[in-house]
Amino acid sequence: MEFLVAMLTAAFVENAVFSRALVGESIWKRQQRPMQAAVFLGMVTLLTTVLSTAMWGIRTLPTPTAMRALWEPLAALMLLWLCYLILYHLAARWMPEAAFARILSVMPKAAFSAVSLGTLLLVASRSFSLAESVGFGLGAGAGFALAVLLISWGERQLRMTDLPAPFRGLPARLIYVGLLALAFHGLIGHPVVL
Amino acid sequence: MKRIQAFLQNRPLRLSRQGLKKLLGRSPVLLRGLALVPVAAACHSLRNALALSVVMAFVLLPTLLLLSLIRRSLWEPMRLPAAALVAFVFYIPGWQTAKALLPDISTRLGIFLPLLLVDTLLFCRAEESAYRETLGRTMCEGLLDLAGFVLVALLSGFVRELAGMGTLMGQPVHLPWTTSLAILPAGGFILLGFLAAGWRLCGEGIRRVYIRRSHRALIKRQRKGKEAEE
Repeated sequence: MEFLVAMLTAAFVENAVFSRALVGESIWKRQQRPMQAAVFLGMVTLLTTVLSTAMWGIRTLPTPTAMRALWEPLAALMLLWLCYLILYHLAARWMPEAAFARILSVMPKAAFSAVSLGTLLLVASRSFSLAESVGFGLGAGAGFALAVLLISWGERQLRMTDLPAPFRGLPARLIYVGLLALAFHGLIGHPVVL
Repeated sequence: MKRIQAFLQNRPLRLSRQGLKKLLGRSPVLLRGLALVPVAAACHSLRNALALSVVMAFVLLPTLLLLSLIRRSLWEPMRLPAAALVAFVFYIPGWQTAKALLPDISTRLGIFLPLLLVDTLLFCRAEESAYRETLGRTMCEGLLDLAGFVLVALLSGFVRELAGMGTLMGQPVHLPWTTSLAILPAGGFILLGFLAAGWRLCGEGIRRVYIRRSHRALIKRQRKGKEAEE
């Protein structure tokens, strides 16, 4: 139950993109190639799930409160590094050359993305149980994938719409993401005073 | 070290007309969608914007400098991870400085301060300049990008604090209305969308004026040439 609640919270209530703006340049680029997008999103979800579990273990280590603000990012970065190295060597050893080249083009950006580090930092800053940490990591990755799919769908609609010239491209996308974020904010029951 | 000395002696950093044109024509946040995380999510007050700008300055420029110097010894798949790790080294003094300016910085900015370590602005500048261009060019590009980031962060902080809380640097300003939308990430995205459109419109206007002026100057020169021939 804890696992499920944490997962749904991370995916909808605290969606990485819509409630914390954990987006990168890659969120606009990946949508153009579905295969690469799938690999990228799969990798982000895998990383957030595995590393959240590891972060739960690290969080239980005794740390002086004054050092926490520096210790948590360092621990998260080290975990990302370790996971990236393991994935790299596994992929280099077991994958065919073409697939390895494809995965290598997205692996660093997936590992060192705002959503990966952000999820780890969130897990580190909360007193989650093990099940909640795993659920939160999985939900954060799934929520990110959902956001990318929604943005990708909107992108296609925006391309077909006759927009004024200054709004074409990035400005329209940003406003669309803003409206989606507002919709998510309203959907989970938060009021907005206008 | 020799490269730094040569750069400082032969190519002093100055914001030339070309630099100003670049600054206006290439805002990393509004034209390329880089560094959206800190600006859209955390720059909802001027103090936050200032703190983020200070830490970004501490992280971006020295990281680019160091990456540019050690680029030959870096293995290609490790370049991005190395950038994040190098950035952490410079994040520590940046965080200390920002903390001296704003003691409650950690509670104010939470996870958004360490997220500067994997910021797209840093990675893009590292990929496009530090690993490819000369040291001088990398630093110039880094400075221009930093200036573009600071400008948008402060603008976003100013507008969102005013519209969201009715204050400026914590001091109350009497406004007929405020909206909580401004301090949400949703408001940040919407504001950035409108700012990006406005920036593009201004850039296009300036470009047109520039083209018209140079066209007029060309016609004048041609007329003078003809008169001289006659």
